Amino acid sequence: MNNLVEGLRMRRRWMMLAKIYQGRRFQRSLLGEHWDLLNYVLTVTALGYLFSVLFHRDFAEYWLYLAGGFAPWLFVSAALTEGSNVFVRNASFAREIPMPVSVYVWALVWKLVRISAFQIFVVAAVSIWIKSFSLALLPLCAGFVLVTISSFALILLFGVIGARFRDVIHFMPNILRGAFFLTPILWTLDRREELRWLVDYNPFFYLIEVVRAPLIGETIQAGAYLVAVVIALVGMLAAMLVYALAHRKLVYWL
Amino acid sequence: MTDIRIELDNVSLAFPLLGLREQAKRTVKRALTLGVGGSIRESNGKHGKASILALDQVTLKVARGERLALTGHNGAGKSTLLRVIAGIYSPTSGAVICRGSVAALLNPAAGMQKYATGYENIWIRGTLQGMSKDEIENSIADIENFTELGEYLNLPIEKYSSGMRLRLAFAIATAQRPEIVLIDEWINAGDQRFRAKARERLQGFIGTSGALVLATHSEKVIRTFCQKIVRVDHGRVQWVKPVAGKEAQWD
Repeated sequence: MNNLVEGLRMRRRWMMLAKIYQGRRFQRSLLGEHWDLLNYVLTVTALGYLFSVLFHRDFAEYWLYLAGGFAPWLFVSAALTEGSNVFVRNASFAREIPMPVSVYVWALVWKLVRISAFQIFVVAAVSIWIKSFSLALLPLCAGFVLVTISSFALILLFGVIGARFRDVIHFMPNILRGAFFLTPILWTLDRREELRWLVDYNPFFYLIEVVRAPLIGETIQAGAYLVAVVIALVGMLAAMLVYALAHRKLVYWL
Repeated sequence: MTDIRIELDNVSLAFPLLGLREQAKRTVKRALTLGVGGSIRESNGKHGKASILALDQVTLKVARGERLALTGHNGAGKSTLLRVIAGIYSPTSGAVICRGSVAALLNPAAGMQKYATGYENIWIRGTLQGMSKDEIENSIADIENFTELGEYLNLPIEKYSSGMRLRLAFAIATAQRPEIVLIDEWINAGDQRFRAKARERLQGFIGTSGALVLATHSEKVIRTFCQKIVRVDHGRVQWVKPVAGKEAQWD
């Protein structure tokens, strides 16, 4: 716990690390960090076109639904894939530079928050432009905070597990590819009750819904927020527990 | 005066050996103590679980003003000991107290980013080692001076030779004014000219610090910087002696 707060206080260090992560990824590219946003818009638009035709949906309406769900999905799925790798990837720092290992977690959270915030901003702008409604800013922010807290928990939890059991790192992308199709991001339930369980028992759904619904001006049941809060809390609890047990040994495992 | 001291009380550290293949497991079964490295042992009763005992009940005190040299074979535990003092590894058992701001020159290249320019790396590495904005800004002229890299500081460091990179890394790592300095053996790297310059810079760097622990094999380095020698073998402290007389007496 102390280690986590101590890490959080080192704001300049985790912001620098986040910059390094991005710098490495986009070295010598002209657009640099903007690729995160551009790729997102291109993917959503391409998929949006295809599936709006397949599902006989209005393009603009469907684009918003897809884009609104895809941003939080990318956030949470990156928290799982990159999160399970977070300590392993930073091994060369962790073994040589004395600082609390939680700094690496904060850096990744910060990186993902920034990427996601830009994406959501674009969707919000388009949403307001098309639907001309006033954005429910408070529920949107609340949803984003819940996704951020949950992602922090996932990064911490799976970061530790991935450092000890390396197979988790390679397994993660596979599960997530499946989860992407099983979660209502591309599709909606549309009275197909036999698929309802995929929504009701799917934690990803709630984390996505609390951002997507306010973003595209749909009503959301208060229940969804409640479940998202529970997910964030349970995630934090599990992460803290695992971290408390393992953080002293963590660097040995790298 | 702030409190500056390092105290290790009965510190042991065992690195778990993870993901061993069959061959390695058989090696482990023989519970080895080899010429180099810490002893490898199988943990009590658990099949296939083993660890390397890198530090074995180390007790050590460094007071303000003390300059300590760690010597010993490859794998004797010198670097591990430095990392325990720096707080990178928490010991498996025993207690560590380290009071004072620490500069750990363990691997000066750590944190340096190939894609970034020399100047950017000053900010990157400087920030990661805990320097404030002002401290970094104020150290830039000094780093330019020491490295003599001139315009190269505007180029990505992947275009540097390894010697140039070493100069930059060293200059950044020694840009702080810490109370406790920990140094791993690499200070003997680089060409003659660099070594002479580095030694001079280090003299100033260490001069202002409250305590020094330096791992090295070099008699010259020991005589230049240290007053006390700590001999480490197989993770145990063999003896502690003052730096005096001939090297032969140190063994």
